[in-house]
Amino acid sequence: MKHSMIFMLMLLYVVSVNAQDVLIDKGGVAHFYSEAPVENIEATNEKAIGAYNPKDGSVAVTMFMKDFHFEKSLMEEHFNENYIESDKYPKATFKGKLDSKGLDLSKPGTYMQTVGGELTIHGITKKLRTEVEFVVSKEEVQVNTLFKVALEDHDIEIPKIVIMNIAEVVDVDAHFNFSLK
Amino acid sequence: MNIRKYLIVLLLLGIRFGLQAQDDLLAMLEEEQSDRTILTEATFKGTRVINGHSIETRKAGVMDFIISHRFGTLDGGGYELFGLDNAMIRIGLEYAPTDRLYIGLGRSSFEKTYDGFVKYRLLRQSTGNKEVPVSITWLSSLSIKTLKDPVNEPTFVEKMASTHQVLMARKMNQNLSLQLMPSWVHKNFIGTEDNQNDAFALGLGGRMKLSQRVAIVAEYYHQFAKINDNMLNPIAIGVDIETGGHVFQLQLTNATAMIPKGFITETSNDFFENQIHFGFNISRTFQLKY
Repeated sequence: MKHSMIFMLMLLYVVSVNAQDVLIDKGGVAHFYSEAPVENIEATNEKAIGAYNPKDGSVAVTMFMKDFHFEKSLMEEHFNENYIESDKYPKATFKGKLDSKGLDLSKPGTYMQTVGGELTIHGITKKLRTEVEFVVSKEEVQVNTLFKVALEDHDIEIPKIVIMNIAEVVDVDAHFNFSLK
Repeated sequence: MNIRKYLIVLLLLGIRFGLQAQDDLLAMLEEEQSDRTILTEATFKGTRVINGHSIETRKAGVMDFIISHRFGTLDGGGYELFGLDNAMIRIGLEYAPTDRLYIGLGRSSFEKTYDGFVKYRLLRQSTGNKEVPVSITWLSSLSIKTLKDPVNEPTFVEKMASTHQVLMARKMNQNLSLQLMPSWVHKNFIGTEDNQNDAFALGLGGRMKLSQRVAIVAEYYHQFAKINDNMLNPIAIGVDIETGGHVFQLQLTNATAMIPKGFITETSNDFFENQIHFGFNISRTFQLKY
């Protein structure tokens, strides 16, 4: 009986860890920039969803590829239809964990952290490690990161005819705002 | 049971939960996305299947400049360089005021015809929260034939013909799209050899992607009630090639006209007698408004 009680208590503890408050931002911004000799292409997704669990340091991001908007609508169609194949692979996701210690959401300040995890784009999952800036204030946590994605790593083909139009490695930046209230 | 067993169970549970916590965070977020509806894009690459319209319209603020050519028929042989000595041309300028509305004007050298059309997307195929299996687009086209006709001397109104179509398409999967086009053509003026002012037809169209940038397309209209019994049904097969802002459509068809009332009801060439035109459509889009 005593053992069962201990078991229950410990189980409760394990479960409660999972149920802790997770910070979520449903209006995150992801942006990419491709710099090539003929043209520069950029697109912004303002409906990225990001989450951070302060208890275990886990991080997750998901977004629909069709929410990336380009200046030219035809580019957007090509992006979805020919490169990213959004019907087949509708989302880009990331799941990872903070590697570094020291982030304290109760103390305002700027913290540079390293996040390691798995980035899935175009159905291909690759390891990604990136520096993430956490700007903590009393009301919110701003999270910013910048990293590079090689299209080849995710099996995104660039036809030779547009090799001068599309960079082989694109710069990606993402921004989230988590409310602490 | 002794406590050690519990601890092992607990440890395993802990590992399980610990692993899940990370997965769950992403799963939890993906749950948040389940209420989204995603519109199906690019059922056809261009606003035309081949001769006729597809359900597609351009996005708001885009202007499309379309040049279409139909050369003479292949049965002209080497003397006519398989039709290349003759060419019919249509120049079109089209614009999308909204994502659903599309308007256009054109001038065809064939019978010196001016045409205008209005296209409206009534229903869009989508997946996700709101699943819509098909896209439906309405098309109304009006044309005025300005070729001089000293025998009949038609009035301005008599020179006009209109076509109304309900375009219904489904992108079956990434590579295959199919379209049905119930069509009604009305001519204000008909000749003595014609039997009625109206034609009713059902069109069938399809696109199959061969690669990311190349697709084969086919289109056929079957007339159930003809304006003129000597006219045949238009058949067309083609290849779509796209490069950046351009879409090239190369085709073989027995139709000479490039507007609906023309190719549906006035196709006199027999596809199976080699009376086939080689032709192409080139589309160049310009983003006028962002």
